[in-house]
Amino acid sequence: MNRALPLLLILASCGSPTPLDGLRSDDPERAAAAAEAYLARGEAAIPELREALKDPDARTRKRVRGVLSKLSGQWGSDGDGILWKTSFDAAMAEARRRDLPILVLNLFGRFDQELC
Amino acid sequence: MTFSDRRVIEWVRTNFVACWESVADVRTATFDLGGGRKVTGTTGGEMAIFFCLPDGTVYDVLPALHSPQAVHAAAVEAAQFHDRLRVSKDREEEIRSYHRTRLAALPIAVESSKRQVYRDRHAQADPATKDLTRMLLSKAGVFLPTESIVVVEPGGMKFYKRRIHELLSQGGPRTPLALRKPVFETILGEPLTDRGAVTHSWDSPAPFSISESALEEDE
Repeated sequence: MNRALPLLLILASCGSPTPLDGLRSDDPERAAAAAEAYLARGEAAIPELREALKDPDARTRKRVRGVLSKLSGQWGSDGDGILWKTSFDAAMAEARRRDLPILVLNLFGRFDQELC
Repeated sequence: MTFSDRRVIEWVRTNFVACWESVADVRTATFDLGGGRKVTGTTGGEMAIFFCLPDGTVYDVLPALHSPQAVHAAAVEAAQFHDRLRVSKDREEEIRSYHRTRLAALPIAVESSKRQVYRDRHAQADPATKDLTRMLLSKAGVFLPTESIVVVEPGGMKFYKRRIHELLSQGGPRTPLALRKPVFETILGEPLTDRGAVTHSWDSPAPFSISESALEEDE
């Protein structure tokens, strides 16, 4: 019995759902929760999401793009573009830290949503 | 998509901290065609890029939407100007002087008479006609069953940039928030209020000629 325990644990971990499984879900609430989990990880989640853009399912790819849009701050981003701050104060803090100027795009609507 | 262009992406990522702010809602106009059919599109939707020092002081502005090439060129120039400001002992005067010099070197842009006629006609039109002409002739978004498409007419640099130089060659507050109203409302002619969703009856628009209105060549 004791010998079987590690194997059972491995099998259990293999079966545990990942956030990507959540984005693939037919359940919109589960998909939304998975998207929130990715957003909570911030920019660190971008490499994994870029890989997920290769998912064969179109709905999953659309959801992945939605998360990437929010993380990057730009609608339609594939995660390999500009990472936008959405707060001028946060941009100033980073600009001071990196001694760089700030490019501030002012626009109507939101840049991380369709049809801005 | 200007900010999906590799030249722009690489330059901005390396030389700037990028930030966006929404100045107001998008304005959408819906025309009720009857029988449950509707046409909805965005009207207006200018943008402006403010180049700021790390303390938030605006030192240059690129008004309106432009091609990736134009945005890249402006960002290169802004980064170079920032290098000068970094070592300047009087940044305020350096900024004013920079814009005075640029203003003096910029030829005065003369609006063609046909464009002026179109502008006057547009100013006097009823709201529905204004919205429909803007949807069709300039910044336009069309909602289709399968996707939404935004088509934007870039340009206006020769008219707008001169006024930016005039604005920044003077003193006064220099934050993006303080400059929002003069840049959007005074220079770009894009109101910050009267946004959101508007619905018109299809009976409202007056007849107008697209081909005639679109003519912008000098006579």
